[in-house]
Amino acid sequence: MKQLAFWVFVAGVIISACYGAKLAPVEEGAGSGPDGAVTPTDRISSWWDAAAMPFSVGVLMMVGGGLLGRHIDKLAHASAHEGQVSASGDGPGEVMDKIGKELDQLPAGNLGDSVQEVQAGLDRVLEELVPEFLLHRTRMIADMGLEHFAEMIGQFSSFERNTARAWSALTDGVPSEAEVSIERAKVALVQAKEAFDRSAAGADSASA
Amino acid sequence: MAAAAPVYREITTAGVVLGVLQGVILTASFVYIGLKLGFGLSGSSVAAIMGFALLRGVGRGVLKIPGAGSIVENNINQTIASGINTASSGVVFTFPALLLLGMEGQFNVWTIIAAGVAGSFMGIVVIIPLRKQLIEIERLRFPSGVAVATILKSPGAGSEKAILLGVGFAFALVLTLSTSGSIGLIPETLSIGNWIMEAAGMEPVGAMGLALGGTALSLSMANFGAGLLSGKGGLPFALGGMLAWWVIGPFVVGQGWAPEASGEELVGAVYGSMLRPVGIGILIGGAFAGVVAAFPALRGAIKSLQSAAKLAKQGGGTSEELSPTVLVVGLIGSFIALFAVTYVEGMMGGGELTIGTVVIVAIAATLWLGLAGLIVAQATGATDISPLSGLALIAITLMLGLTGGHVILAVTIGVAVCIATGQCGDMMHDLKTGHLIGGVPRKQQLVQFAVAWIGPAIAIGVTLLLWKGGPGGMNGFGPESPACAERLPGCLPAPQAEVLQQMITGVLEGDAPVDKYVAGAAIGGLGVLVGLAMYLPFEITLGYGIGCLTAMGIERVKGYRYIGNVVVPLAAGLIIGEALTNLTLTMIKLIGGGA
Repeated sequence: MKQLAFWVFVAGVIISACYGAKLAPVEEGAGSGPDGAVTPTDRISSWWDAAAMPFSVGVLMMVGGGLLGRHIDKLAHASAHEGQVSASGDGPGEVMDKIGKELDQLPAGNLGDSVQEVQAGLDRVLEELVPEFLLHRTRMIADMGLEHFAEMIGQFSSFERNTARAWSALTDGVPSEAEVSIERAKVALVQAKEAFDRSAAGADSASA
Repeated sequence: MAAAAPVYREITTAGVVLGVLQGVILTASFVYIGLKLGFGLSGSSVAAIMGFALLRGVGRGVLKIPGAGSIVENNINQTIASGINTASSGVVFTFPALLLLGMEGQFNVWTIIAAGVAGSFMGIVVIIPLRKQLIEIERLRFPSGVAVATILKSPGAGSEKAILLGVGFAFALVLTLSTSGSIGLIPETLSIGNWIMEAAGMEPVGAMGLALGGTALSLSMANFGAGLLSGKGGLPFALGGMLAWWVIGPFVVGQGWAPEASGEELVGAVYGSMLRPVGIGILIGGAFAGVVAAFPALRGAIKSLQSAAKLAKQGGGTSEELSPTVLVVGLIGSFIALFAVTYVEGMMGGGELTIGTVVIVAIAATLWLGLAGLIVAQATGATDISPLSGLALIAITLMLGLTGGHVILAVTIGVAVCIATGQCGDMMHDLKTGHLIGGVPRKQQLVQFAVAWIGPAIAIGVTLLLWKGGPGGMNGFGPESPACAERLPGCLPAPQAEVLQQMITGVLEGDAPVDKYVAGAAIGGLGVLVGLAMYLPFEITLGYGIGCLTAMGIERVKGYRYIGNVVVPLAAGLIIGEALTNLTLTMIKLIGGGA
């Protein structure tokens, strides 16, 4: 069924785009403007007369195929909700927990004494765990809805920015700023996780 | 007593002054380049590299300022410099058309500067919710933003990534030099389709002639690098190009709808009169559809901005974000500014517009400005390409229609739109860079607000200065200028402004392909990227698409971590290498009086 929706969509795109590009020139002096000048309305009516039917059919097929495909996708997401995992086997909530643990394991106190160790930890978070979390993006949007996802990802982005700031501050030799940024990142991550859990709880109660 | 903890330098006098100085110099230079060659350039990577040399090298090394030239301070420097010089494209693509149309003395230059400044501010305002939408929610790649972040992070990124950045840079440098006009060892574009036709002894006619004749590959490494950084996300752009040149084009030729022609002439006719106008329509329709589809996310983004501001207030601190109040005040302010500009140009001094028309023009200009900003932000986020001149052309067409052919007002609004959209694209790249290096978005937006007025004023001033450099204080540029008529080295043909001049004449005479815009807009659900692919020549789309497919293949074989560790620095090197080599070559050409 999904395949059918896809091909209806593709055929609609091709038909509407081909007929949309059809030239239907209006002869100079034959327009409805003063002294037969060609107006924009003349151009649109001339093209519409030449391409209306196939163009409209194409647009309808495109819209119909697209909507049908989305509907099937939604149903598939709903049925796959329970088994949501990434290549590593972890769902988004688990990846957030892993990030939190990684941040907690960073050396405490004066970071100036362990710059390389902390930077390596931050690198792991930014280059391995954040991309792993973002692999679930499409799925999370489908499950949480765009509005709730937007609120959650806003907090998650604040965590990312502060983690990146800590990395930059260490590179620039200002460990005090890195310490503050890591604390801010931890707070933002907790808020993102709370928003994620709230949304997941809402989805569960809705399905129950 | 313990020593005070060092302050992490972000917004500093040195960073701001250097950013402004670089911005002013780059604006003046890029106006000249734009009038000479017809394209705009971005100054972000130049500013970031100069920032390292001056803020870090001189500030920390020579002047012994502790912590000078930090990564985030240099980010502020490049944000300011690129925020100022982005106005050069906006002005060069639009304003000179008034001079070429012989309207000097009929317009008020201060009104045009005011429109440009209003556009510049509005470009930044529109970005407030779009930053959340496109960088945080949609996760668009913004290839140039990633490339500049790679430069900024290079002091701490480790030798492996620095080497990859260098390899990419060197490869792009060699290839760009080899393909440049003055050296020309390798063609800039591979005419693959034409070679196939020659080998098979085919005539360049009919559907197959168009499909093959239109198939070419640009050897631009920046283009390929942007595709590498975009990966799967950029695929609709590549597919849009294939749809245009391998399906729609051959179909319309096969049906006998295209003008009678062959070879390059056929390719040019189908592209110019069919594919490109429909692409412009899809760009507009796609932006509308995008706004509707993204409405819940935009609402979520604004909610998130509100809660961030609330939390910061409760905690006694300042939010990392500008509040939604700034968005509302900025939009109202920009509308008032555009209304004032329209009122002055359309009603004062014997202007023929009614107050009703003035209100409609100001509303339409504000709405189009916001929509065009969204189009550019999406297009540049996914592909690094921004259709600035096309969007300005639409704005001017729209204004000519609404005002019954008031050319000066239409171009004035076109200046505002072109500067605003340029500002949107640049600000989004800068904010992406900031996101990756840990800059505070609010600080970046505030400094950009503070300097937004400088670029339009400098760019318009330099354009007028060059115009008045001609004999008798006029005709300093354009195809009819004495320098160009006599083919002197100082010729500034102003190609984009000439196109706009012809387009204005065409619209006034009823030649604009409005039917294609309407048809494209009706199928705009395909999205901005497909529209952009039809709007651009296939050689660009194909090169970019190969980059996307390469990145997807690498990710499948090596995994996404390999992309971050190897592909990103390499692609950043390719983009920066080509940009800086082209900039240097252009400067050398201009100094030598060539081009």
